[in-house]
Amino acid sequence: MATSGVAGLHSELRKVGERLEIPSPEFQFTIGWSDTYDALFGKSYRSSTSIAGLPVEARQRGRVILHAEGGAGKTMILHRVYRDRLADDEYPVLIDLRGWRPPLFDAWKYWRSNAMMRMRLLLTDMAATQVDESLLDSLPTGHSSFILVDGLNEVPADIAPGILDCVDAFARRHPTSSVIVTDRLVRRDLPGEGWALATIRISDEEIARVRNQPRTDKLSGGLLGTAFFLDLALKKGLDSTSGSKAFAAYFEHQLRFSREQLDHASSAAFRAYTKRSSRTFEFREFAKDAGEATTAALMQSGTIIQNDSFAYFKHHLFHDYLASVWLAQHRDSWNAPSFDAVTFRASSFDALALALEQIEKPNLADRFLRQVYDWNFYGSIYALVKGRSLGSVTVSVEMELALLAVLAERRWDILRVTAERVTDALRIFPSSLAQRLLKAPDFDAVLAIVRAAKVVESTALKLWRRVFTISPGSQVSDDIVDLLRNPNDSLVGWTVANVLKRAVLSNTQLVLLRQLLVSHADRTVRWRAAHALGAHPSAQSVDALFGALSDEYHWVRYGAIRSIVECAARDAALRTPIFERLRRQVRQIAQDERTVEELEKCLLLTSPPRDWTASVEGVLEELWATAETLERQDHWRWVAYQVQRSGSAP
Amino acid sequence: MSPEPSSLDRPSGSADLRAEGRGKAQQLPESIGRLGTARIGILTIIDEEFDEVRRIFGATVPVPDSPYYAFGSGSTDVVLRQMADRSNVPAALCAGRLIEDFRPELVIVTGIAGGIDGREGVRPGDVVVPHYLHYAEFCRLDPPSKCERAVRALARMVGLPSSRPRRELHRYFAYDQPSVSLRESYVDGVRVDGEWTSAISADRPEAGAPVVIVGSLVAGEKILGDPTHDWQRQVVEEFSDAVAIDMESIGVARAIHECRRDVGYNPRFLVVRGVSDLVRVREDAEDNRRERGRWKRYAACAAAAFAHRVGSRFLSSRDARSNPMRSEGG
Repeated sequence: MATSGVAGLHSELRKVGERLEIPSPEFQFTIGWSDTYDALFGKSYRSSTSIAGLPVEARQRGRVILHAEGGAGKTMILHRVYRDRLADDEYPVLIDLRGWRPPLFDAWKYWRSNAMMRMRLLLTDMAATQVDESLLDSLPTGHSSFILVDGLNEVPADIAPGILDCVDAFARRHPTSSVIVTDRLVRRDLPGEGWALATIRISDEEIARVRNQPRTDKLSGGLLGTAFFLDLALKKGLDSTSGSKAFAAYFEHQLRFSREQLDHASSAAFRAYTKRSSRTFEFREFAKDAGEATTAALMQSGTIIQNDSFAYFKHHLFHDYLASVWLAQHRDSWNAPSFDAVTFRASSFDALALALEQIEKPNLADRFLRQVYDWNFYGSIYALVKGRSLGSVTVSVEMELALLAVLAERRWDILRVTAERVTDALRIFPSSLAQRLLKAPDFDAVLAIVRAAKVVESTALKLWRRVFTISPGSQVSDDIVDLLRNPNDSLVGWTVANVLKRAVLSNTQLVLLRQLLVSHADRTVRWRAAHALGAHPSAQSVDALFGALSDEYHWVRYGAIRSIVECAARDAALRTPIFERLRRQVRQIAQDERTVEELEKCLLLTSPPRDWTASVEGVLEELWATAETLERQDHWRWVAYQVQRSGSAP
Repeated sequence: MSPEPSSLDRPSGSADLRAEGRGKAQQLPESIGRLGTARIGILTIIDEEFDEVRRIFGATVPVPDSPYYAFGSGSTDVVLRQMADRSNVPAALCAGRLIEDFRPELVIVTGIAGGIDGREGVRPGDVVVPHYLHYAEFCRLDPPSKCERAVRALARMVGLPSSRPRRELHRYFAYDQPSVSLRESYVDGVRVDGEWTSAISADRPEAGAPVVIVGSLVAGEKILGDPTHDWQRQVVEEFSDAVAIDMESIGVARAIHECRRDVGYNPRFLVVRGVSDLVRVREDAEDNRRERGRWKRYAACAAAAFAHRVGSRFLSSRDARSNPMRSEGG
């Protein structure tokens, strides 16, 4: 309900506070603070505080983003901040983004040029207490508001930046108000300056304290270091060796689900994700899919919470687990549509990690990971990271070596966005191999690690290692180029695409690559060819890549625009003609949101040539001049500034 | 040379609220920024400008964990910040943040700029105080054809304005203009009495005295320091009344415009630019750079000296912070 007056607002906020779930015992979290993502991912914190430090930092900086994996306790922490701010006679407003529903898309899109109206949408349609921004302006002297935005990763990837923009603008408008946003551990392009970055951990001492047991080293790096599972272990005795086993025990012992009930619930959970792309779902539909008895059990245990005709799980990991049960069992659904559904288009990889944990046979676990890899490179890594962190996965050591090596190779990618993402992924990977690959001073050192690795090689991995260890600058045989067309092994196919980038190719091989890009029936092969051509700039390759900007498959267009920019970066003579051509085609490219988004990311290079800023200028100017909204114009101004900065960096 | 005794030399009555603002809610005055309040917020760009402003305003006390320097111990009459970078985007960010952090009554951008040769008799070392800001990027030009380029080159050779195709943007943004009341109340007075020049700490590279010119300024997104660059020439022709060119004023002006949302906070805005070089239609880029190198420090010091004198007079006016305007909500 809408509130009237400041006194009414505080009363409404108190009612919300009374309903907030704050598990007991309250864990003593440690908050690590950083000003840059490199420091955050590198665990190089400028300071550490208790959660009491959150409002202090938020008040001073105006904006805090708290990054941690699912289940780490972000929501729990926000609830405690809410309670404590309320107790201090302040005005916390909770916005739970799990409630993001498809009807909001239209309104959000409509107000794309109006940050205040977007904030109004958040405060009226998403906040636990509906509140008008003007009311927050008229709080009594000395009292401030805290906007607590929970779960940035719960909204589709293309919505999240807009949310950051509008809360950033809110903090700018209201210096006595502060914003705290929670998100999974992912690098964001934060608007403006002044965001404080934070992450959470529970220490071994704290785990020992709440369990009333002697301290055990390194528990904090495992399942019990995750607040959600520590809570389950304390309350339900579900002290398991993996996340999925803890959930299995929960449904089996706590809810007393039969196998059949679990199957029904998991099917319903998966369908809910595919139907609505959201954490909330139609209650009646779910009950129809899961069965009345199963739904009733979920309701009675509080696992599902109903809100009018909608419902949601009390923690998204319950929903993720159930969806993962279904996914793990249905091999024919290990494909892009399913992965998109359970991850909200690659926003949250918990369900994939949980599915991976449940696949007992190593060859199937490897296959699952290859399928994920073919869908999203980072998805496979994060699923494996999470699986390894929270328990056991049966992925082969060889597969892990291959994935990490492919990741490590791209630390030296010419495009900064790629180099940053792979470095972030290696930093959070809990294995000594990942750390060695991270410390490798150059790619030759990576090759040496891969060559020396003692692993039992399957035929497939043997082939992968043979391909991967081809040295940069080598000539490759035609049979290696031919592997690009391998439809059965995405890992080898993509490794070949990367190897072809660092190899010396004959004219015949380059002609073949261009032919594959232009006319191969398999769209993934066309994508791989586009990827490889980026390292072999020539007028003919550039022509072929420009042609591929009209390909029907969006990933081919994505690969083509990246390679076009890469050609411009690598070849000084082609640079001006390429950007002039891009400039002329800006209107056409701008029709395709994904391609233009990728173009923008690619303009930031790891080591830009001296004339890069001047070369890119025409394209940016055209994008800016043809932008139809002020917001887009501002966006391109910002991108131009970033390019300028990267060009002048030492 | 020492700065004149001014209200900048007296202790301020307003406390830095930063430390007290942490933790539990404090009884804070209205219109307070995240880090406290300041009467004047100053933004500079290059090192020479920052060093001189810090010296002449006595803004030597670092505000902890922030990019600001404040005047006096524990007081916030004046806060100073050097922008992170050149151009309007970082200028807008820094100005927005300054306003959020300190809610200054007056925002001053001070530093160097290029003067436009032949306009109002402007010379290196002069100070331009714009009464109007143009934004060059609101009209962008289609790249000229070879033929058009030739015609334009010919027109320039004979000193005629060259015609060229023109395209309008789809969207314009609103921004503030320098405050008329500041010019009337402070700038004109300081300009006429001329004593401000005694506070210029740098040696003048050649004989003469600086003149304060009140005229219009054109700001763009590019580095408008290369007189051989087509775009700069076009800007000079397009904005025929502009006396100087810079790259930051519009960013600050826009940030100030966007912070105006209630009657309780109504900041004023001043741009003070020392002329470090002249943009000439026929000139070698190297000559331009040489001239700027010669005059840069003097121009920065002249702008700082003028801004300091205006700031001093401004600080002599009533401090509105002691009389909060807004009533409590409820």
